Amino acid sequence: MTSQTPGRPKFDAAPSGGGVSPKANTGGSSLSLRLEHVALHAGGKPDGRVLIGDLSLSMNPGERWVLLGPNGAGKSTLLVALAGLLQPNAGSILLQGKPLADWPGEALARQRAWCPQFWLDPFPVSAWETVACALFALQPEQSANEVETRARHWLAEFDVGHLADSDVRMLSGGERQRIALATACAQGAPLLLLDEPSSHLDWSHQALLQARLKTWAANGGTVLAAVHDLNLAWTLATHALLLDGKGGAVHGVREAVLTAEQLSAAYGVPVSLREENDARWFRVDLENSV
Amino acid sequence: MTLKPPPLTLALLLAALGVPAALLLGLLSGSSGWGWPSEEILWLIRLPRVLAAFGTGAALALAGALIQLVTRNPLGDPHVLGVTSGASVGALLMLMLAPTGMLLAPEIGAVIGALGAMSLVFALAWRSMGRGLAPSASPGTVIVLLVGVMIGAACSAGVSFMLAMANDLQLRNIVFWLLGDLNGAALWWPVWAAVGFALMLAWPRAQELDWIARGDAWAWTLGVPVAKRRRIALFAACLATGAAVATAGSIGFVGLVAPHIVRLTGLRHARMLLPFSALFGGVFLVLADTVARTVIAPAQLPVGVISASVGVPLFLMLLLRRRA
Amino acid sequence: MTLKAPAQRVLSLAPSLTEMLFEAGGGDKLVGAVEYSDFPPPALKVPRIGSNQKLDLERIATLKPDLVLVWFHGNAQREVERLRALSIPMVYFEPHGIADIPGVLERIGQLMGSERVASAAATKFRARHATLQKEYAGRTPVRVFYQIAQKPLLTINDQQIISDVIRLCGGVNVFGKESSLVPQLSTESVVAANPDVILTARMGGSGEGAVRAMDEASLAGWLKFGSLTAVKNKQLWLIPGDQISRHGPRILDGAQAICMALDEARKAK
Repeated sequence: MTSQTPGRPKFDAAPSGGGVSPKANTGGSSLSLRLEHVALHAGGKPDGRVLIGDLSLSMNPGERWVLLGPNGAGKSTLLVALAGLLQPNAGSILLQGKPLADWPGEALARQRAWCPQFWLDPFPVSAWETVACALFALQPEQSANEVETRARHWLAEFDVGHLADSDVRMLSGGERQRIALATACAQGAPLLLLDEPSSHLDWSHQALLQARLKTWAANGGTVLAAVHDLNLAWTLATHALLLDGKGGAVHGVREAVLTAEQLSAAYGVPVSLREENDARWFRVDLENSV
Repeated sequence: MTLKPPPLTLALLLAALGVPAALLLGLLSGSSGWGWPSEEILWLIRLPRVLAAFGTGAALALAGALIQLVTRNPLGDPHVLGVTSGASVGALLMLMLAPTGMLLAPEIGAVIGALGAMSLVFALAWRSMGRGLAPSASPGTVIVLLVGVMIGAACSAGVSFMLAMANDLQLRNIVFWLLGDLNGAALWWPVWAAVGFALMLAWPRAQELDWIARGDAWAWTLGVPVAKRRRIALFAACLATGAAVATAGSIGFVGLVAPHIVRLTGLRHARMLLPFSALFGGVFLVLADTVARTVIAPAQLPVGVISASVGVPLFLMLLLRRRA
Repeated sequence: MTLKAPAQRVLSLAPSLTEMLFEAGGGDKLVGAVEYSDFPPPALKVPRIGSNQKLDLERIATLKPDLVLVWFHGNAQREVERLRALSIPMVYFEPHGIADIPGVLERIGQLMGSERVASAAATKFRARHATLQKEYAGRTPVRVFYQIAQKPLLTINDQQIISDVIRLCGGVNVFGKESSLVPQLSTESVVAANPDVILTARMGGSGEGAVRAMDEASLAGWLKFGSLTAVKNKQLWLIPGDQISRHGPRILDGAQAICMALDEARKAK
């Protein structure tokens, strides 16, 4: 790995190719995502298991949301629904006051980027070309050189600049994950929907991810990321949404959601926490939980 | 492993030299010897055959490339959609039932059979072509392939049935359709028209096919109308395959491997991949057919024997050298 | 192989063997025959036992034959092996040329106990063969292309019995030297070989002899090659298929038809 100092946000340092900040695309207007009485069943099927019974909340620019819950609680399904790929079984999802289904595909792509948990790359393609897809799709007026420069910039932002010319099929899980994150950011949409962005990432790259997402939100973007690590969740988030897998959900500022009691109930394992100067450290008692 | 940017000018240069060279070689060699043939042999035999070979190879390679992209499957091949089997059934039915002396009966049957199988695939898999976007649903790409394979299996059963019912003369004809043969190619231009039309349908939005190949749901979130692109690409692929089969019977291998060989040379983007696969497939089949009809002249080998025995080592060599 | 007593229940596994059996005087003992056993007409009344490549083994067993006539290379070896397992007496025949046919008739006569009829038939065949030989042996050679099928374009080499007939009539098979028994050709090689006459078989077809066929669909493809001698001289002929393609007694009828066609081609040269 190259010797880049992790955790030092480079987001604000103007890159040579001209980095995209979320504001650039929203034209200064603020973007909010609202859920009104949303119900979601497994697979989006009417007879599917109820994942979310009735959820109403809104997410606003500058907020960093973490999405928590046990396996199968519906984190990925909710992200897919918020991306517009799946209709909720009831209720509505509004982006800037307009139902998601009413957004034309390309306009929606300028507002939200979705980064799935799994990638399957059937054919050879270089890392920078993967990132460039998102740029080509939304900024057709850019020259090929410009696109390449930006793509390489975003790879560097996630410490995979040295892999820009590598075949994505040859990379490790963590490297592929960072390329996916670079791709999502390169899309330039203010709302980032990230499915387990920290999976496969080592500590220093988790720190890097956190720094990038904080900068993103500080520039007016909104982040919603599904995570499993409670300590990462705490430091990353301003807000949290905790699904219990039985249709219930708790949401609000992180202090209100990430409590020992609610986490223990949702995950079904004893979670304890230590609080110190407004910071919280979580400990899951795995030994006494089965 | 580092992927270099595609050497476009080199590729164009090679195509500009290679295509005419292959066509010329095809025209200059024949079972009656090397060199410029008599006018009769040139115009009535070699030229139509070389053009039919080029068109057929191009159509199969293009169809293969399209199917691989939109089903996100490197094993995609023009024959997986059942169109080839449908065309075979149509051709064989006409062979057995058409009044004797009817001109182009099996060719017409092949076109009808290909269209029939294609309509069936589209009718059954129409929804699936647009589905599979939400990760929890069963992947539409898999359903499309399975529907195609099932229709192919049903048609193969039909072929077997006709094999059982056919008399000796019909049997030979059936074997021709199943093995593929360019000697019988009656018309060369329909398959060229099909290739042109398929390229016209798929090429302008080729980039979006790349994104679909990388992730169909993800491509959708980029604003790509995935269902529409996929349907258009599959339609173009079916059309090209049907035309190829009607021209020369069922020729294997080219459609599967030509796109991979083009990719291995560095032309990975659909914009390059589609036209260059077609060119490569065309050149490849012209050369394979030239060998097939000259190497044991005056007798000839099935072109599939040559295309596989040259293509398999070539493909493996490129593949393994890149990995090393 | 010899039988203790003349066979009473005979199966024929090839249409040509059916014809031979009748010619050798054993037709009334035939209890089953493969498809296309349509000559002489009484053969049509016998139960079918499958085709030469797909035998109905069960029906064969229930017919309880005491003799099965097998065409050595014409039948599927795998199935014949199964018959052997049923311990049904089998006799193999493999006539390579016209001259082998009377021998087959005589052998069948022995097996059937109809030696007199059979040897009379054999003698008649030999005499007719000799007459044809004498008549056409010295004539100017004619270059012949025999088209087995148009798509794929197939012909025969000199090992095939039809080439024997062509030789008998003073013809030369232009692809006789090919190594494969039924070589697949390119159109170009036929044009390059430039035969004097092109022959092909009419499906089925008995009697009638050779017919000039300038409008026959399977030969129409040659008409556009105006430089071909056969096309220039209108020497495209249809031969009765069953007579020429069965290794049976009627092959001399087919030979007569071919000799007639080649004579026409000879005159046109």
